[in-house]
Amino acid sequence: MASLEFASIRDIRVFLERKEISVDELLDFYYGRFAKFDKKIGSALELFDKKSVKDRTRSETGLLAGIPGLIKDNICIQDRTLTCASKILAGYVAPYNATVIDKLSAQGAFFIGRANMDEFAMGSSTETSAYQKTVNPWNAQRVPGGSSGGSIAAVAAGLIPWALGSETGGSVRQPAALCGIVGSKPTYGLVSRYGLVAYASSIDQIGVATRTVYDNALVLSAIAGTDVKDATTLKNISAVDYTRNLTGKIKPGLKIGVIDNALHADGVDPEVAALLKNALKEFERLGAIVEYVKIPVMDYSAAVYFILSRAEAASNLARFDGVRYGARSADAHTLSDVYELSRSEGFGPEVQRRILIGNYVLSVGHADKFYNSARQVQHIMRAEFLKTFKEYDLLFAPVSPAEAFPFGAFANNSLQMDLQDYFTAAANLVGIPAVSIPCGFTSNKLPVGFQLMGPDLSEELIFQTGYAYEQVTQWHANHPEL
Amino acid sequence: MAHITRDEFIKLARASYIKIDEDDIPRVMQSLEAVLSYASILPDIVTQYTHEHEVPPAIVNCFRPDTAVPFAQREQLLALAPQREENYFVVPVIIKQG
Repeated sequence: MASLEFASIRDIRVFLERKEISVDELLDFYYGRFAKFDKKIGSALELFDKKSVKDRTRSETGLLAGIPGLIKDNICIQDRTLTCASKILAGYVAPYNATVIDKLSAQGAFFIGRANMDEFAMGSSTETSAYQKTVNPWNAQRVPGGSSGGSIAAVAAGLIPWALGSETGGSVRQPAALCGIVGSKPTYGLVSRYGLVAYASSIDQIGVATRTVYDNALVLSAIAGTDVKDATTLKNISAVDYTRNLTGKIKPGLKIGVIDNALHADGVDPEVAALLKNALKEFERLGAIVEYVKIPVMDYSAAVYFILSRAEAASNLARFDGVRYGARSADAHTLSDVYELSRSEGFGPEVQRRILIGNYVLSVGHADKFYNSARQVQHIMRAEFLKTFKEYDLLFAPVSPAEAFPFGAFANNSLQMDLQDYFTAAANLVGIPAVSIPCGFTSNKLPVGFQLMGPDLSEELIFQTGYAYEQVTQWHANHPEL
Repeated sequence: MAHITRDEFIKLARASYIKIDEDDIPRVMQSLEAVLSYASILPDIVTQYTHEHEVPPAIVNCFRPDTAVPFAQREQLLALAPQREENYFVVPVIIKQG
């Protein structure tokens, strides 16, 4: 049997099937990896008791039978603590399972623990977690990206073969690119949000972190589908095997549009741009037609995202009031105190800042200028992207403008931190699927990724294309030395 | 152009039930101002594209019928309350009795 350290789910399934390893040995192996390396990485907020992990699975067969994963701490697992990496939810125990947890459990998956994240998924570095720091496995002085930094760092470090994260503006793809793994954001409505703590409901979507494209497609196959518990899931979505077209060949005549105004935007590091252009040459070698296309309105996606996400966050986070659940300030003597002190002590500075912006842009006198304009530009963006997809099968763009940055790099410039979502937020706002795939390393030995975006429900084509690229480049075979 | 005055900021924080320490107000105001300034271009973009695109559909609320159904997890939810008394969430007295 080959080494388990960075084995893919695909390989692990074979090991289990051939009985080269048992489920117990596999669990022991990953618990051992966490014990050995997670003091340094800081990816998990909690590892569950091993016996309870095994006892809770609903199936001994299925796509992920016996294969453990790590779950971002904003996805409910019944009777497990859930904090969203916030003090305001300290001690909260989820009373029900998210639909994705039920679905994965039905496929035999194990949930080994809770992944660290930016508080309430608000951040691009996992630095806003109220509990701990997570480092980039490639360089402990650098951030892993965010907000799903714990999920992504654990997978990149080989502590676990897969993890769930969530995306509102790029929170799976951006850390995946910065840590050298595959991160996906499905079509809005393909995966149920039931049991995902809401940040900006109209664009939130659960995403998958894995080390290979095949594994990503496999986990998505387990969680996709219509859900009666989430009215925003798409109707009549039946089970799809997203691995079925992973042949190593691209679709004949595939046309890839390179978003010129993204690849050549100010602030894109020349080293990153060069690696992305190398990837485009590979696609041409694979037989794709690669052309440059401009989508000028994409340049405003960060502005739209700032307004819509903060507005929805202000509304969604109004429920945290210290009355029904979560932390209540010990100093509160009036009802007004309960609200104000509990929220002020419970929410960190970034969450408070986003709530304030959200309430401002929704207020009388400002809603037209900000919120309503943002919605209109979002509508225009979707129309422009759909128009572009009449010409191109897929679109290609950077994920992050630069390699992973040092801790504290944007401590005094919150706008620059917010702008880490510059290239990723468009897919969320437009509702289309996008997958981040590794494409090389900078001279600092830090990973870089590109993203492929496609029209609604084009996940199969994105995975097929990404898989073909992965097979000829083998960037996924590089792993950090811990 | 500044989008928010100090008085507006204080009112906004109060309405959001968030207490910002006096010393932090300038810094938080500045970070809000940076985002609002960055996004203030959006109305111009709408004007620029209006001739090409229809306005987005109005936001509508989707509600399911408000029907009472059996619920087995009341105790589990009440157990999460910071303070409870029997089947009620406890909050401080709002109106003092005379």
